[in-house]
Amino acid sequence: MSWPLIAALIMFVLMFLLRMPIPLGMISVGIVYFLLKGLNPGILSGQIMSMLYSKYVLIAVPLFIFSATVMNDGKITEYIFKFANGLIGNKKGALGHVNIIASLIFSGMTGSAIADASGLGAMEIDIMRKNGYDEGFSGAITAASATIGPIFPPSIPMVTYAMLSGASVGALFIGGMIPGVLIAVALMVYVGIISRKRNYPAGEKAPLRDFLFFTFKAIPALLTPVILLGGIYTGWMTSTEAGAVAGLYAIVVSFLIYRTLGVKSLWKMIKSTVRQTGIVAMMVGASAAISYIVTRENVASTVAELVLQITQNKYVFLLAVNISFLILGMFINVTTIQLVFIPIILPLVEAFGINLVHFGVVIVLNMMIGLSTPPFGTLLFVTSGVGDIPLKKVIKEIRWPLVGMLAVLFLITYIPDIVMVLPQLLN
Amino acid sequence: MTKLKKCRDLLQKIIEEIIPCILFCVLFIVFIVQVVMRYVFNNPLTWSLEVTSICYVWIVTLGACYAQRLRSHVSFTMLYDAMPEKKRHFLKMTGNSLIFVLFGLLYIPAIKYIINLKISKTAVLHLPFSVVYSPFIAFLSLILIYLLIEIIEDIKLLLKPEDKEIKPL
Repeated sequence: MSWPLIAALIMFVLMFLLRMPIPLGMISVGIVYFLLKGLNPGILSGQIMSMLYSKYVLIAVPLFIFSATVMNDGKITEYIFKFANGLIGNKKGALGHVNIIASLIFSGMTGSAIADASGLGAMEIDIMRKNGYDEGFSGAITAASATIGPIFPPSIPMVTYAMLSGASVGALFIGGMIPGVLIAVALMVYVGIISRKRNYPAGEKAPLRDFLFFTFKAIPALLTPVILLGGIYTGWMTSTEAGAVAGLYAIVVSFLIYRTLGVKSLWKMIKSTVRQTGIVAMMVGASAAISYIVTRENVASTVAELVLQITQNKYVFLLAVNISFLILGMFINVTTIQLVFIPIILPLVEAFGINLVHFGVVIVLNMMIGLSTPPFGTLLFVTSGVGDIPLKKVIKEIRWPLVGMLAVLFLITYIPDIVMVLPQLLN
Repeated sequence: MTKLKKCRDLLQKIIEEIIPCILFCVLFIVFIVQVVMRYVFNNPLTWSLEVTSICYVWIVTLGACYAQRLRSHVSFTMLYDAMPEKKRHFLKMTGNSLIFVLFGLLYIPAIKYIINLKISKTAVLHLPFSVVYSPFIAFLSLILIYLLIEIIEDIKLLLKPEDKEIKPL
């Protein structure tokens, strides 16, 4: 290991210990390396900017953020909730099921788990509390169901993965559909068992007329993923263009149909989009500093040799990757993990002959589970915050939903067909 | 003083909010036009890829400044949260100072490097890359300013004498 590399590694650790903003920290790691290596640090700025300029697929990120921001409006989420409510009817523990179904629908419009938990989640927790559900349970099920957001298309983490691996965004999106539904099913089984045990209230069956009314109101929102995936899969649009069309659709729907959007609020949403894009995409740009070091120091091939000495078994490798990413996901932000570690292990994924789409869906689900893993999962904090529930209670109840999600992760890791059947069918 | 402050606020607003927001609108509209031109008029655009890429680079770089001003960049807060208040300020100040020094070292080489890019031009619009990448200079400048503000804030809080609590009798 060379001195500049060691210094860069120390800086990388300091970035976490000293609470540096991650994108600035990553650039600093690069500056340390460039200076000690005797290179012109100015080159680094070129690396960062060309990373942003040349990764066309990433332009989808602001577009997805924008359509999610427009659709994450109180009125629209309410219609989705009522529609899901009508679907579930008078089952025991109905609101728990509704929470999951509404998240599944909502995840078809946004690619972000945090948006799901903070918008729709706040409303769900409130209604569940009024109906006598334990707050810990409400918070936990909201956090767990929000995990579906980035698994079910569209998905910002999948776009980032596509940029890193070169896998097709469309295939990743469609590959995430079955795992997303499986997570929903696993969580619903859990809700079913708990509701019987704790005697949670049954829902009210909505009169057919009301149900039809809410279905009618929810349809425009329900169509978003259809337009998105339809556009990509018929070959009509690239995934990036589909992001723009989904954004336009979101504007039209909320302006004309739901009447929730005005010019002033639109400007506010654009501002919020710009800020969020600055946060996510600057991390990608800054990661150019890290990947420059990784390439120049041959880190990936060193790691590959090391791993291949330990095991030549694909299944052991997948298990090891899953465990390490789960542990990383407990502590570090998802985008950071992806940008730093995926390029390092990608050569191994290819050496083991693992399909890149399959691997991508597995790794994204894995990292999303990390979001609800105690003690530091972001979703736990979000639901406990928006629902005003003590964190301890949410953590106590998240155990079994976590087991369910891990079971799905295990399934899709070792039965690749669950992920691959839809992309292969459509190709 | 208030005039100066107003001036600064306006400049901030233009660089960090108005320009990237307008560019986002441009990016958005170009994409829609691109799809329409291809399918309705059967006449695919040649310049759209470049325009959207340039818009994107500018949005991200300026948006990142905006995010730094609002202090909403992602950071790892586990250790920070576990500390008493005084130590927190010290920790954050140390981290920010380290970035400040390193960004300071990058500043001049980065400006020189980007200016030198004026000879290479984009493929379709023949725009020099020094222009395309120029927001990075704004990014470095603004980040340095914001870091300095935060560092001074933390030092002030560190130097503030411990508030002695007066116990009611």
